[in-house]
Amino acid sequence: MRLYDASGKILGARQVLTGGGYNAQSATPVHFGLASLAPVTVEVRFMAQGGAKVQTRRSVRPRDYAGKSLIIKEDR
Amino acid sequence: METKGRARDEGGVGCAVSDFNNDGHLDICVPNYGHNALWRSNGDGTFTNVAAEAGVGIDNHAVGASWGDFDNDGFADLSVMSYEGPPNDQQPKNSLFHNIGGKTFVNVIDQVPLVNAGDHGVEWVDYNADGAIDLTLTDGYSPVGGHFVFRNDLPPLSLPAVSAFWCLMPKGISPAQA
Repeated sequence: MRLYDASGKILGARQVLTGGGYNAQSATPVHFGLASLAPVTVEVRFMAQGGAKVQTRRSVRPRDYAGKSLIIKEDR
Repeated sequence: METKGRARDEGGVGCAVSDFNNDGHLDICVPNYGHNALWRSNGDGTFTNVAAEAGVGIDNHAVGASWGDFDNDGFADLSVMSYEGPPNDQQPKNSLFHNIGGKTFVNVIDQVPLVNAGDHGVEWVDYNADGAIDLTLTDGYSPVGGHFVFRNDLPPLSLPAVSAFWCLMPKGISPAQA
């Protein structure tokens, strides 16, 4: 997943973990710490046969997700 | 990505992937028996080990590592599980590396000695959905052992600036089923 600000500047990338590390297993939410409440663009790359499929959510307001999660499912 | 000149007893077990400098490319931390490695992506499929200059390349007996932005400054911090001591008397020797602007790290474990409690597994997860990511560790080498969860008590004023995102495959698991 990649996060961008409204101008398109990248804020960072995080990986969706399905298991990793040692003595640990995880399918945990992707967590982005945000220094600002400004709207962001969320880009998700779903691994798929034939290459990655990219889905984008624009104008996501972090304030709307305090205490909850944004769920993005792969379009079929 | 090859580390030459390592002795056979200098293993490396778990690795952790994140983008520590927020350039959009995923980097890799390899905790080691010996000096940790931090492979910074060059963005072209190659990587450079910047552990020493970044401050995470300490000499330790590290097993697991996990990235999590515990202070929500936008830069992923790093927890490393390590231990020291002879067999049957191993003690946790963890590191909590605070990411300073995506360039360097400062080990702040002495400021939070309570969380120097694991020796193998580590994951970050916001279990109480307050926006501050929490820390869970496994301790396998003490007489009793343990699996601990440490709640991150970041000041409430910081919380609105936080969000967490689930990303699911069409038939993936949901939080309720996990």
